[in-house]
Amino acid sequence: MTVTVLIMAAGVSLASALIHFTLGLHRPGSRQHVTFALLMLATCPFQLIVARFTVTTSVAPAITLSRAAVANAIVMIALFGAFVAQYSGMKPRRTVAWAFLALSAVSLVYDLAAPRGLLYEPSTPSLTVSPIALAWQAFNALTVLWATVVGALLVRRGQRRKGVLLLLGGGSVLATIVIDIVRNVLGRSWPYVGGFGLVVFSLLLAVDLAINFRDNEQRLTEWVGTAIVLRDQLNTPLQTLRFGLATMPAANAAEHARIQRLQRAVTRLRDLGRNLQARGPFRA
Amino acid sequence: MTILMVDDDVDLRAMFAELMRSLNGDCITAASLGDVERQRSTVLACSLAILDLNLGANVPSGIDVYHWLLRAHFSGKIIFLTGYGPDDPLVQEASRLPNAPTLSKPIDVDQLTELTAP
Repeated sequence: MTVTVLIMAAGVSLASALIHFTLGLHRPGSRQHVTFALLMLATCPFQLIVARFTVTTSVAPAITLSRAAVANAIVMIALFGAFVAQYSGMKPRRTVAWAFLALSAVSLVYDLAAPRGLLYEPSTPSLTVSPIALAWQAFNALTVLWATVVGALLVRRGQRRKGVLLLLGGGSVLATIVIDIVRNVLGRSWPYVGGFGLVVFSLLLAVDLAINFRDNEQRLTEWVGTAIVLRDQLNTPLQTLRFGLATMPAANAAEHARIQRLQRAVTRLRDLGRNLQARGPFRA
Repeated sequence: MTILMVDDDVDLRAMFAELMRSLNGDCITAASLGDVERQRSTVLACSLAILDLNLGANVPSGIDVYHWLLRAHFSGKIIFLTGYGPDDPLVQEASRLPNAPTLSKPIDVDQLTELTAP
């Protein structure tokens, strides 16, 4: 059952990654969508590794899988931080950002180099979670807590939808990380659920995207409608101009050429207005 | 040939009258259905009526003028001239009326000459 849910979560992550890559790489490009797509892409193997870890009973493969899962999670948390900064427009101080990246890099190197990876205590024969692992999880929890605080700040600044999304999304990621910490502290064997929080976050973001899309469509329809009204109002002065130019006497060739040029300008303005509706994807 | 031009834009009416004079034609202009009704006898003597569709907000439209002309047994040709696009409800309504084509502003003098040709 647990394995099935984890595999399904991996599928949701992969689908979300594809959607956000499409949105992010489609012109005009969007960095925050690309970052979120990378985050979801990293979440997908994480869920699969955790699924495999859940059914592994022997020590050696469990260490290999946990090492891979931790490495994956470090990348996920780094991408999560980058996404929150891009999405909210509230970037942390440069020193804080560098410290965050440095800690992430050190954790990654330690995980790859340590005999039992970052997660497990090397001095015990059984699989006991190390204090370093708990510190790393606390660091992850702090990162997500920052995202939640950013959400609260956005709500206070009037950016309610973005703020609520970060609050709910960050809250769900935080809750799952805390569950993982409790699991490790108590030495329980239930599966790691940290990845689920990110899946919930991706679903919330999908709702946000849908609302954004609807808002943009409405705005675009209003703009096109306004442009068409302006075009319609332009046509009567153009008609006056057309008739007026036709009544102007052309005493010589130069004046005749000038009037012809003005007539052509009227024609171009007319064609510009007539093409407006044909070019636009929406009709007013 | 005398042409009736109904349009709520004063500059367009003035320029149209000037153009007709330069082409040795006659015309009468009106800004609204009320203007048309006041000039009933001269209006009914015209052989062509060029009607703007939108004569302003909350006032009778060019389509009302069209119906008035038909009720008054106007024997000339009627055309609608509009600055509005094909999606406009008035334009769509006008396009369903018989024997009254709709032209889009701005028309040029050649088109006008064709319309006034006997």
